[in-house]
Order: sequence, then C-alpha cells, then structure tokens
Amino acid sequence: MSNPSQGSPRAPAPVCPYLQRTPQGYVCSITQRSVNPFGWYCVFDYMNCPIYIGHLSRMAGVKGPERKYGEDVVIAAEDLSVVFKVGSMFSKKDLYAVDHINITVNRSETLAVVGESGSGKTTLGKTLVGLYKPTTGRIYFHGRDVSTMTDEEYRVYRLKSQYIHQDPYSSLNPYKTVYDILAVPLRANKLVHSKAEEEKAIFETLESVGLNPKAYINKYPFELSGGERQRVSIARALLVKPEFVVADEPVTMLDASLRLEVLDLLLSVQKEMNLSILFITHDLGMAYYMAGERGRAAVMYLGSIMEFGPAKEMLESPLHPYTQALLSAIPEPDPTKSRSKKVMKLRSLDPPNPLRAPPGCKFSDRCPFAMDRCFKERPPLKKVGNTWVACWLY
Amino acid sequence: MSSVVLSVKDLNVTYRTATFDVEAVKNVTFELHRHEILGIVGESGSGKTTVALALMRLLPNNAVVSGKATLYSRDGNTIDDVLSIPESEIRRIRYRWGKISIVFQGAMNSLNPLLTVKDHFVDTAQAHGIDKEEALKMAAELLRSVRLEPARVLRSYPHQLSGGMKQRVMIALALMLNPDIIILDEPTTALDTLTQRQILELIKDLRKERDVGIILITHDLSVVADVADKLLVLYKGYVMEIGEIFTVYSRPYSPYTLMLINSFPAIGKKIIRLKPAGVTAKTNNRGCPFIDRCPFASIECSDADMKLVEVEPGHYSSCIKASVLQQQLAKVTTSE
Amino acid sequence: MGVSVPLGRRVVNRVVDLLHQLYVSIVIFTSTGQGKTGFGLTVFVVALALAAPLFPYPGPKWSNVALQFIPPTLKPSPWYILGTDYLGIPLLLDIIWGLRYFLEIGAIAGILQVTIGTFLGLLAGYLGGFTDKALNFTFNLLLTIPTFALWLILAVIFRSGNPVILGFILGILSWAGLARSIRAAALSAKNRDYVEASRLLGLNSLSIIANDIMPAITPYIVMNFMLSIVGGFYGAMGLAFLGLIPYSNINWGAIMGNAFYQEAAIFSPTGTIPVVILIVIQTIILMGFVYFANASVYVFDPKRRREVEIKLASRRRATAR
Repeated sequence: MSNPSQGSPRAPAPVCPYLQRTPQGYVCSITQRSVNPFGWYCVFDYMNCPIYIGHLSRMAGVKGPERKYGEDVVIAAEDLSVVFKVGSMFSKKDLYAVDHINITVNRSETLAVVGESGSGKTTLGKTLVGLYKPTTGRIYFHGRDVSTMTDEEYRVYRLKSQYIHQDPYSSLNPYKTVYDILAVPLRANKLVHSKAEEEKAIFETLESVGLNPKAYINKYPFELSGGERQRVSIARALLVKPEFVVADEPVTMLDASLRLEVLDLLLSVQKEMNLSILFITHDLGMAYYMAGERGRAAVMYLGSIMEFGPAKEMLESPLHPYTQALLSAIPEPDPTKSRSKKVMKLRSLDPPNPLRAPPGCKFSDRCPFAMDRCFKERPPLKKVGNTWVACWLY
Repeated sequence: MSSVVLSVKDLNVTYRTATFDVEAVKNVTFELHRHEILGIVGESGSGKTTVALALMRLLPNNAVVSGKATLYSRDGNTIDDVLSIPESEIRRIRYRWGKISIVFQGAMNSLNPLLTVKDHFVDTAQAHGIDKEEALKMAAELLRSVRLEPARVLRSYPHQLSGGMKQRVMIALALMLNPDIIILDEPTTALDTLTQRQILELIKDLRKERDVGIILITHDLSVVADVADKLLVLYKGYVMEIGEIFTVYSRPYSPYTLMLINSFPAIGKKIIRLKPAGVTAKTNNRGCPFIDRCPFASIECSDADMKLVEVEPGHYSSCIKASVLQQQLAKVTTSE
Repeated sequence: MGVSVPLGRRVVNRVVDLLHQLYVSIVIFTSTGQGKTGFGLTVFVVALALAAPLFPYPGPKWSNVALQFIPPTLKPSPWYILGTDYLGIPLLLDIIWGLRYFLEIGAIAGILQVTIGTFLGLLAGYLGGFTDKALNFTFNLLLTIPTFALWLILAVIFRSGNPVILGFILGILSWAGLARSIRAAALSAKNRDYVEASRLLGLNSLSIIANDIMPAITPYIVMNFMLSIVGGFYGAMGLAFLGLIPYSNINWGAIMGNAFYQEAAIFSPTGTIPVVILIVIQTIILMGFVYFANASVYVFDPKRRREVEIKLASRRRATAR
C-alpha cells in the first residue's frame, strides 16, 4: 500500500473497464463512441458518464465494509484528526490541528469553511486532498476508504482532488513558462498522446480561465500579476478534470477589485464541471458570496467544528456564540450598517492557544454565555433546525 | 481657531530610476481636521504608502516631491511647506514623531526582538531629549490608553506578546510625543478578526479622547467604513473621489469607487457587477487611469485632466462624468 | 498546429535553440564587470590548457643548467620571457603545461565532489526523515576530518603523479561541504507551494526533483563546482610544494619548492622571481574562476534571461529597419 503523505505511487493510468482499444483509437464499448482514456476528449462529459460512475461504485464495493455515504457524497471525513508534534526536543506536545472532525462534501456543491488563523482550516483542506496523512479517523472518496485503496484507486483519488494555494507568488514554478507549467501534469499522467493534443488541452484550459492563450503561454510567472497567476493556478488544477477542489483563501492576497472576478470564475467552472468546492476563508462576506445561495458552511475554532449547516441561514442568523462573535466583529463595507452593529463583548481579549485549549468547550474561556457545564464537558454537534451546533446552550 | 490640522495641495511624487520615472502620486489634495479620521483607500500601486512617506519626509533620495502641505499645530505654530523645508529644520522642530508619527504596515515586526517594551519607550524618549523617569511615566499612561496593562507589558519581550498587543504597543509608541497627526498604514492586516475589532474600537476611542488627526491607510473598504469620517479613494496615484464616508458610500460619484464598493461582498448585500465599456487608453500618460476598466468610459476620458470638482457640499470627484453618473447608476440598478 | 515536424528539422531547431540560450548566457555573464573578468579569464585559461600540446613540451631537451633560474629575458629566445626554473627550462612552458596538469586535477576533483555531493545532498534534503538525519550526521562527521592531513596520507600511500589519481584523492572525501549546502537548498525548495502542487498533480519524486528542485539548486551546483576546482588546484599545489607528488618539472609546486630550498627564495633575487611569478599567475587564474562562479548565479535567473532576450529582440528589430 502506498504511503499517502509522500506523493502518488507509480501506476498505469486507470482505465474504464468498458474502454476498448481498436485500430482507430479508443472506443466505449457500451455507446460505441470514440473516447480518449481518462476522458480529456471523452465525448460524454465523463464526469456524468454512467459507466464511469458505475465503475467507481464498483470500486467502492470491492473490498472492506459496504459503501458508506450516498451517491452524491464526493468526499467525507469521519472522526478525522491530524496531530502535529510541537515543542523542543524534551517536551513534545500534541497539537490537534484537526480535532475529530466529521464533514461531507456533495457533488457540485460549495462548502465554505470559515475560521481564523490557527483554526485548522488549511490543515483540514490539505488532509482531504491527501497532502497530510490523518493521525486518526478516515477519509472516504466516493464512499471508498482512502487508507484501504489499491494503488490505482488511490491515484484516481489524488488526481480527482485538487488544491489551489493561497499565495499566487509561490504556487507556480518560477523557472518554467506557463506552457511548461501546464504541460507537466498532462504528460506525467499520460492524459494526452501527442503534441497537438497537449497544445489543444492547454489552450482550451487557458481560455476557460479567461486568459488569452497566445499571449500567456510563453510568459514566466514573474511576468504575471497576482490575479493572472491565480488563474494559471486554477487552470493547472482543472487540467486533470478534478471532482473536488479545495480553494484555500484563493483571493485573499489579490487586490480587492480583482477578487470577485476570480471568485466568479470558480463559480462558473463549478457549474460547467459539476465541481465540488471546499472554500476556505476567514472572511464571512466571501463565504456568503460563494456558498450563500445553495451551499453549506462550517465554522471552525481550534480544530473543531462549532457550527455547520446551510450557509445562508447560518450566516444570516448564527446560533453558536463564536459565529455570532465573528459576525459582530467583522467590519461591514457599509458605514451605516457597520456603526449600528452591536459588538459582542468577549470575556477574554487574548487569542486562543491551541496547545492550552480549555478542557470543556474550546470557546468557554471567551464565551460571554458560558455556563458551568461548558467548562467541564465538550459539547457534541447537535442538530437544531437545519444546522448542527456544538454548544450547550441548545 | 479652525479645526484643520493638515492641508495638502497638489502633492506630486515621482520616483526617478536609471531607466524611467514612476509617477507614484499625482496632484493629491485633501484636508485633515482634528478629531477626524481620514481613510485613504487604494489597492496596490495606488500610491497610498507614498503619500504617507511624503508627509513623514521619509521618501528615498530618488523621489521628487512637489506640492504644498501645511501643518497647523495645536501649540499655535503653523508649519508652511512641510514638504520642502530642509532636513535640519525638520530635526530642529522635532517634526517626525513630535508633530506627526506613523505606525507602519506589519508594525509588529518593527519591534526589536532583543529589547523589552520598556527599552523601546526609553530609547525613543531619550532620542527626543526626555529623561528616563519621565519616559516611564509617559509609557505607563500611554499603555493604559491603548488598553494594555503597563506592569506586565513593559517588562515583556515582543515575542511574548500577541499580534494585537504588539500593534497596540506600536500605537502607544507613536503617541509618545503627543503628535498632531498620526498615520496608520494597514493597521489590521495580519490580525485575527476578533483582534481586528479591538484595534478598530481603539482607533475610534483615540479619535474621541485625543486631540489628533488620524490618517488611516488601507485597501480594505470595510475597515474604513467602520471607523473613518472621511474617505479618499486613490487609484494609480490619482484622487478619484473624496468626501464624507456616508455620502460617498451611498452616492459614489466615481466609477472606480463604485466598483470598489462592489468588490467587498457582505452578508445580505447585493453586488452590482458592471462590464467595462472597452475603451482603450491612448498611449500617452494623460487621461483617467481607470479608462480601460470603467463601465461608463468614453473617448473623452482619455483627455481628462483629473481635477477634483465639488459635486455635493464637501464631496469631490475627479470623474468628468460625475454629474451624469448617478442617473446612469439608477438606470442600471432598476434594470436588474 | 497539428502538423508533425520531421525529425531532422526538430534536431536542428533544438540545436539552434541551445546556441541561442548559450548566447544569452554569455551576454548575462558579460553584463557586470566581475562577470566580464571572470568569464574572460576562465575561457582564456581553459583554452590555454586545452591548447598546451601546441606548445613545445618542457622536456629534457630544453634543460640547460647554465640557464638555471635566470630572470625574465628575451635571449636566447622569446620562450624565456618569464625566466627559467631549476633545470634551466623556460618557465613559460612550465606554466602552460602545468596549468593543464593542475586544471585536470581540479576538474576531476570538482566533478567527483559535485556528483557525490549533489546526489547525497538531494537525497538528504528531499527525502528527509531518517535518511536525512543519517546523511547529515555523515556530512558533519566528514567535515571534522582535517582534509589536508588526509590528502597527505593518501598521497604518500598512492605515490602517483597521475592527474586522474590525484584528482580522485582530492575529491573523494571533500564533498561534504557541498552536500550540506545542496541539502539546505533542496530543503528550502521542497517546502515551496509549487512543489506541493506538483505532488498533487501526480508527479513522482524523480519528476519533482528534475522539474522543480533542480532549477532551484543548479546555481549552487555550478558555483560549488568552480570553487571545487579552485580547492583542488590549491590542494595539489600544496602537496607538490611539500614534495609528496613525484617530482616533475611542470609541477609548479615543485618549482616553487626548488626555488625555496635550492635558491633561497625570498632571500635572494634569483629565487624570488619564479615564486612571485607563479603566485601572481595562480592568483589571477583562480580569481577568474571565483568571479565566474559569482556571475554564474545570474545566468539561471529567468527574469534576467527574459530581460536580455527582450533587449536582443529590440536591437534586432532596430537593425532590421
């Protein structure tokens, strides 16, 4: 079994069992249409190809427990914890960056994960795509437990889950041109079989992110602005036709007037490709923009989820005191609204130390509504209406 | 006595390099009053930090400055031509820190990790001729005014303090000589949401309690909406609009301001997205810099002189279409 | 697009492209004063070393005891322009052939150091974990060994004047410093976001090293290679001076040794001149190498290359009109 934290294992490209090789090329034996393996040119949008999805279901049922989670769930985390060892050589402590989290992301939905720095949101995102190994708990891709996957299945999982970095100034290889940066994943995964195909794939993807291919393919990253770099980053992630993308604060480092363009790009790509997006941010306004319509949101604090539910409801009328505190604390761009807002007073002004989290509820040392019980027991996630809340008030 | 503390007229800053000149700031004009917070909003390349450095007289040698800035100090002295008086004079009147001070961006990293907070105060005080006893008394009082506990903070090293506390120490240091003006450059980036809120409340309190004028420089319109009284919008070195925060927000007279307002999503807010009119700028350096992204641009905009025109009392815009903008906006919003 | 290009054409295109890249590199080298000196000197020295066979070999034919250690003169022939050595052979010929000898040693030592050092440094830096700890320990251990003492011992054991063997001795155990600096460079490159992205996109470790890590560490490799040559040069000179390399007249160290012991160099004018000449020439050559190493860093910077290409293109357009 491969070691998930060290890069994907070498294995031939996975192929749909109904793919037939004929003298004219590859053909789908069910529909008799010509296709390209792994579907760059698949005539069916293979994301919706019933054959492909059937193949995945079969993979899920092949070994281990029965298929968990419904058809629609792309990624699920069950009791997921990621623990880092920090401290000096003699006093190593456990830092629970992600603390027993349960979360699911459905097909074609946006899940906004909101939290401040130190909440564990980036660690969660990176673990879900396979960059970090979970310390305890499991991750399920299409219902299939990642830790028991075969090499081939694992490769599919890694390719289908992509990640967009926060910092556009370090996410592109500065020594390569845009063309080379985009060609590398195509070649490494044998997604194209000729130079012409490669060019076509790269040109199409650049166009889909709003960059004129002829103008950009020979540019180096240092010749691009932050917004352009981020678009190239997105293009690179889209090249392998992912099903699930973790966007980690993708626009925080861009100028304000360019942010919405990139966010709109993500939303339109999502619609086109039925993409599931895990949108990590500290800005509740952006979470609302991305997930407010039909998406869900989760609020994280010190590695745990405090509130989780439909984004619109949750952000307009939050239940958990931490969410309420966040909402009251963020400055609104509208001066009238901003100054009429009531600021919630927290009991302690110090920011939390993840190594010295309170024994009961993690928010108990700052929560203005803390009761006796809050200091002793950690509240589980409880369903209140449409939202899950981890708070003893409910 | 008028409450104006700073008056800036036609400030121009050009950086000269071996190959070409960069016009960073062009004809910036504004007034700052006591007990007032002026928010300067601009994205990267707008020149906002250059304006701050120009006022602090901290620009590098290759910067060419023109224009007039007058400081009306509370002790009755008026310093004309703040921008052109020689360095020796600047030092003699203790201009920097005594009349105007600044808290830089990422100020938390400006603290010397090898010195305690007390050392910082004492060093700064002694550099300005204040003795140690006096300095320590002032330090305690200043720290209390920024809501920090003097006993604990004074003997701490910077790494023992949180980001928010360090930022407050920097603000206290900036207030040490009781300046007439204090400039805050991006005071809340790199801070947690909850800590950010505390700093913003602190800035509001400062405005009430102390006799200073505050210039707040940021790219984040929400921060300015929360604390500022007046808003100055900068784009590529030009002032696009300036006026009271409420009026500018509800009735923007510059398309750039409009676009900026609609770049900050908020809960329950409707975003107006407009496409650029597609007018390309002429190659010469004249005209409105926003022409290629502006939804209302036309060919005359490439010859615009970018002069500020009063569109409402106290509300100025440099857009030549300012007068028709409101009607066009109404058309757009009703058509949705 | 879509038309496949014949193989011959493709090869020609590649060669032209490579030559163009070489030209751009040279332009970057010569853009600074240091770069010009370094590049010029290095090219000159290497050319001279390669062209040594064109000059007469300073063999026994040239030996003339009567002309022992004479100062620079143009008589009896222009070859004597730098004076002579202990055997009366013209110093100029000694120097030219000696250069070839020492550069060979230095180059072999350099190649050995760079190959082993880069390989192990990359392994340690990229793989991390236990491999890294073990390798790092080895590096540090090797660095504590006094290299010169080791060279002395090895030279005595092997007793060979063969440049390949000497190069081997000098290079085989002194790669630890290079390995450490490559390891540091690999570690810092490994943590960049774009390496993470490559892992996600399905690249195996080898591809990541080739695509992402190598471009970041190539400047270090080139610099260290040049400096290893310098180190090997000095090491061999030192061994020769101490008489640990079988005597041969093209051996500069031997010449200097003789000048000191036979002619009381620095105490007498005739002995001093060859010593001074050799020292000056050596310093200039090695300074050139070091400048070359310094300037070579910019050659790999894509920003610089792009600037140069733009300048060249605009110049071409200007002349075309």
